[in-house]
Amino acid sequence: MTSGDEGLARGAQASDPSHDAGAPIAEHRSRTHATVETVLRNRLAVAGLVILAVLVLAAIIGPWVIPYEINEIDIANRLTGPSTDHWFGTDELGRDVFSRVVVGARVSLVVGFVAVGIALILGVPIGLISGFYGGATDSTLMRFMDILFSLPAILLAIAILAVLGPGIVNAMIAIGIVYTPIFARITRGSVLTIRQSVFVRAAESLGATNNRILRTHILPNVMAPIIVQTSLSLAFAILAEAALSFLGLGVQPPEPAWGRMLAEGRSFFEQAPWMAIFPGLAIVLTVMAFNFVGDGLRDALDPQQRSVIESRGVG
Amino acid sequence: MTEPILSVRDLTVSFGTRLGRARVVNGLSYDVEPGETLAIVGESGSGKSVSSLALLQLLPTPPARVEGEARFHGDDLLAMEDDEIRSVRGNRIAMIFQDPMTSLNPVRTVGYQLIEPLKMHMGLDAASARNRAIDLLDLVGIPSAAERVDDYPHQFSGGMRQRVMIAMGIACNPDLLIADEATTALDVTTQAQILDEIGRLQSELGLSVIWITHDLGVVAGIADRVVVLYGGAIMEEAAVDPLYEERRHPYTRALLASLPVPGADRPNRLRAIPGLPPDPTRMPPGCPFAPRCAHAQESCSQQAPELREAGEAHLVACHFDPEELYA
Amino acid sequence: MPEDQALLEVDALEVHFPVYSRGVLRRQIATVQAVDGVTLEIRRGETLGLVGESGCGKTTTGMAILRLVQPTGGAVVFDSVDVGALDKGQMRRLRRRMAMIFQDPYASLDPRMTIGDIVAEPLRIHGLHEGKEARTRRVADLLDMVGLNPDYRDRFPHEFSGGQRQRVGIARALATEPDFIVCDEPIAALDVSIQAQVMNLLEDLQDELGLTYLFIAHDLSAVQHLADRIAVMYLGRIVEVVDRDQAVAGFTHPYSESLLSAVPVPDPKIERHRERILLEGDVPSPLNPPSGCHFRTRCRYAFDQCATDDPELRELDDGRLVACHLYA
Repeated sequence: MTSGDEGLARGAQASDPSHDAGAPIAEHRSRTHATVETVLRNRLAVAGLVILAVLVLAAIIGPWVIPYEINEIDIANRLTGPSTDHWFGTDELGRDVFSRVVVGARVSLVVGFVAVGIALILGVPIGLISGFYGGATDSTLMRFMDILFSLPAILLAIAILAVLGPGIVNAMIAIGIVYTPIFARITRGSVLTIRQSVFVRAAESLGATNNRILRTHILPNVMAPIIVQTSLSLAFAILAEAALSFLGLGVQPPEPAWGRMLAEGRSFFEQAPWMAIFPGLAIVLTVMAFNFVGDGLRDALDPQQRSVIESRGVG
Repeated sequence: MTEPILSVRDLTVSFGTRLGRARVVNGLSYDVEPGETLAIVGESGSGKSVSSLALLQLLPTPPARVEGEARFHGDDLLAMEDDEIRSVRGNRIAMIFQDPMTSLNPVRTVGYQLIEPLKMHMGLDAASARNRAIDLLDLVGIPSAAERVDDYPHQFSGGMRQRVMIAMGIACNPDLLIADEATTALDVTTQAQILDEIGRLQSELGLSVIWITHDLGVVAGIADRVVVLYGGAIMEEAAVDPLYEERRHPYTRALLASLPVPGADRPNRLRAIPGLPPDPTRMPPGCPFAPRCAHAQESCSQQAPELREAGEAHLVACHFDPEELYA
Repeated sequence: MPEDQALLEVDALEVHFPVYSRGVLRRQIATVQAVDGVTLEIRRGETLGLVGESGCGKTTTGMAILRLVQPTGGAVVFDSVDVGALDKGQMRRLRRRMAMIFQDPYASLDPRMTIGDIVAEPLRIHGLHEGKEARTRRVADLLDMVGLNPDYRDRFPHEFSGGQRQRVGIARALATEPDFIVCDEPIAALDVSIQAQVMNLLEDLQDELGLTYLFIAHDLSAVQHLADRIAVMYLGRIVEVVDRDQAVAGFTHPYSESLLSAVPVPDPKIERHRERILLEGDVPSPLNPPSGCHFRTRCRYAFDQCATDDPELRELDDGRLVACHLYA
């Protein structure tokens, strides 16, 4: 025994006679494990996850399971309402709306993920550097982000597309740039808090380099808000893609995209409302699903959610 | 003998947690006599703070469940309706906490926060409430009270804020003041000032005080009687002198023996208590101190000892006689 | 190696923080004199207790010695090396030999790392005990040394109590076999029944490993127990340095005297008959400390000279150092 204290420790609290500090006071659960558990206890988040799973499945296997070719024109059956043949009806060229909505999931999800990916790749490092080093670096980077942030998102995307030219790839780049400042700001804010924490000071006292501190202490500890923002931004990116496609700046015809289909359906809204309703519904569901998951993650990752018993201090 | 002003019987507080019900306070009973200072001593997880929050119905229920009885001048605090308990809180029973900053409203002046309850509970008009507020600040030792009454809480130092809390506590002439680690966050010289102040107020106003703390030094200086809590239950209760002198319960004895004694010739190793205080969600069966007790026997971890008389007005919860244990 | 050789010499250490005005111009409008000319000497193998109340600059002093805050003046000499003259890389290498134990065992451990990784971090930084097996063995030894079962190395800090976490922090500090450890209030956040365990552990480790400690605390009785010599700090300055044996007989500086008299003693008989030297009011702000002796505004003996001259830390006949005009 390192410090041979009087008496022998007995019972559940100190079952280990050779180590007088005793056993851990809480059961062994990694944070990831605890987070997953909390998310799964949130009904809305689970509903969101189920919807997303269906969407991802549709995006992956959609083209092979849909009842009609997406560009199969059937003038005889144009603008027919939902029926057993055409579940979501047909459009002005007699194309099957259901098939086009299913395949449209692919475009929406790909655009969402790639655009948010671009925003993450640009925004997180900017936020890390800005928050960690501070000073002139911080002021310069953040003023630039503020300028981007101050422009209305959709106008900025349109302006970028005006330079780059319309198209799906350029739309992803434009949306990515538009969302970069959000990630930069969120990352920077968390870095500012974490940088002040005692464990970072401790790493410094051990001789850790800035690079090491950023990689092993700061980045893992700022991930939580970034993850939450990612899921919320996916919803916005999909909306933005729909808006750009609606304006004819994103996906080009005849490729099916929800935003485009909404735009095309608009002209026929009185005769064939299903042309706009179903893609619109798909957008709403997807955005809601990402929001539910994002909220669930926020609740699970919020440190204040820890129970009274788990976080006991003095007194 | 006079009637106790507060009489707590079988107070039990439990919380619903992910791991089941945690009993944080387990059948607590004590009396507070008029004008006396009762110290409740314990470490984290002993239930000392929770038990006093429960008295004033300040615990959210659920997750907390409060059972038992707490008669204040004969009325059961735990059975009171919301408006009844509200008229007792801050009025007849005042409470002061460890962190005065979170107990004060940062966007209101100290004066405003003192004057409002005076108008509400005591029915004073604005001018006399303000005068009384200044008198109170003066009473708790705040210099140039008449000017400082219009300052905001952040303009006061930690010690001065705690004085403001005491002024608010005594504003409505309460019969009982509950101080929960009220000087723990303060420096010792400031603590000495505050303890001195409370002692003076107590002799002037005839207050009863429940002083909740982990600091055995503070208790020695201010308490008339002491309740030692461990794992949600009373281990020992006695008047302050016999408690420190006789140390009948093994926990009290071990705790006092583990403290560094200033002035000891050549300092030896401290006599530390091995192990950890119990986790309320996994309370050991039997005596809560048994896993750390140097004298524990087989029976201690099976059956919880009853609190029994072991001398004049000296209660101990231990299966064994101290005379035999420490012989 | 001579017994009395100083491992660490601190000479007129000064940490002044500038305070800027708000707005575009950011003019410096004031200076917080957190540490204002601290001179100390810590001998090899001893524990120097640094005691004082909140805001007196004791933690900043510890941080400045380890260059975790930049001193604005004075010198720190560690084992004959002028720490201030080192470049970044040299300083980083020197950190192997100096470590710190922090007050808050909840905040000082990275919540996303296992305790094994936390203890291994200094080894990784300095490339010690290379190789998976050697490192695992070293971590196990360190955990064992502080009384923790090495089987728990894959657990996270939040699964442990405050005392256990503090042991992890101590193991981390010991990892690189330092000579000198700054212990910044290592027991203040712990339960009473755990404080003695951690104090014993610190003493045992010192005996075993020949460590030198700067033990920073507000709790005079803990300092009196652990320290060989005690330095009392008030408002950025050292007011008195005494040996432990002398401290038993009492302090000399008026501030140390009142500090000692304010410490509650766990004995009702003593408490009842004690005379407390109660100080008036609050500690003045380090933004604008009083002229001359910083303590004069609250000192019951203050006279004219106290307002004009800074009292120097002077050695008295019995060897104690006191900064007070009464003993000039």
